[in-house]
Amino acid sequence: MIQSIAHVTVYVLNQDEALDFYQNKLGFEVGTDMTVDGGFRWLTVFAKAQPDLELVLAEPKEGPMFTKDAADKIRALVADGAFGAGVFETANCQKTYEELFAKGVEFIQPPTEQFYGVEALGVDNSGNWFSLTQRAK
Amino acid sequence: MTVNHTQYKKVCLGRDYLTQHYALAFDLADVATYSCMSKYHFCRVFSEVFGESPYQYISKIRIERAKELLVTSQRSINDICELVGYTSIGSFSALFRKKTGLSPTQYRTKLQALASDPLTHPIQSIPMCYAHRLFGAKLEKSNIE
Repeated sequence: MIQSIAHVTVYVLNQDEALDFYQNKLGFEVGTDMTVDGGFRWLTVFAKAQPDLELVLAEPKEGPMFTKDAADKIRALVADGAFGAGVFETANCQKTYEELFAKGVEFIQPPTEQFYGVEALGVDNSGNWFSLTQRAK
Repeated sequence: MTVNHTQYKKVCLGRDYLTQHYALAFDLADVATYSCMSKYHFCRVFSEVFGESPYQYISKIRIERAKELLVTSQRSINDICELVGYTSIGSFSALFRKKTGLSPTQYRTKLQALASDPLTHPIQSIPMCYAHRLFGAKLEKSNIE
């Protein structure tokens, strides 16, 4: 059986800028930052409380996965906010929202009471949106 | 801005010059002259073709080289700073932290702790089939820089 999730890919427009956002705005830590094969940069970050799940911050580029045209389309979709980066959990959505907002993080929905807790929706500096969720106890 | 073939070839010459001489003091006039262009024109064409300024390009090359040396050598941070073309350890460390999120010392400690053998890249920490599909990375160990 599958025991856990180790890596999840988030497509970003610029790895340097994404690293700055995920580290200095969201407070993630750098997992691995290593350049392989003359240009491919394996860059991962993780939430401090969950080091075994890493987000791979990847720029869509021409390669085995994408043609140039497809990579350009993915980049455009990322910029247009077509993709979600995931659900990031917090013990206090309002407090974390205020902290992130003060750091300049853009939100498309402020903390809102839901039957399952409190949830806000933010956007990273590539255009990926994410949920900031506080689970109801 | 439209870049013609001659301009493209000239600016590629300049980029190759920067790649080969990244450790020398960066002088835009030198590289522009090498490319037979004015400084202003060289910068504009370079940015148009490669999506970054010459300064950003050489900074990227220097930091990548520093990352490699930090993991695969025992040279001091000061030595590495100078080897990749910086004269100020403060400027180097600040740029390194900005680009990687870690200080040079933190980067060395983190990557060396992940590696299975001393002074090697921690290739085993990367799920390479996934990376191959995602980035076009090759699976052979020899492809690790």
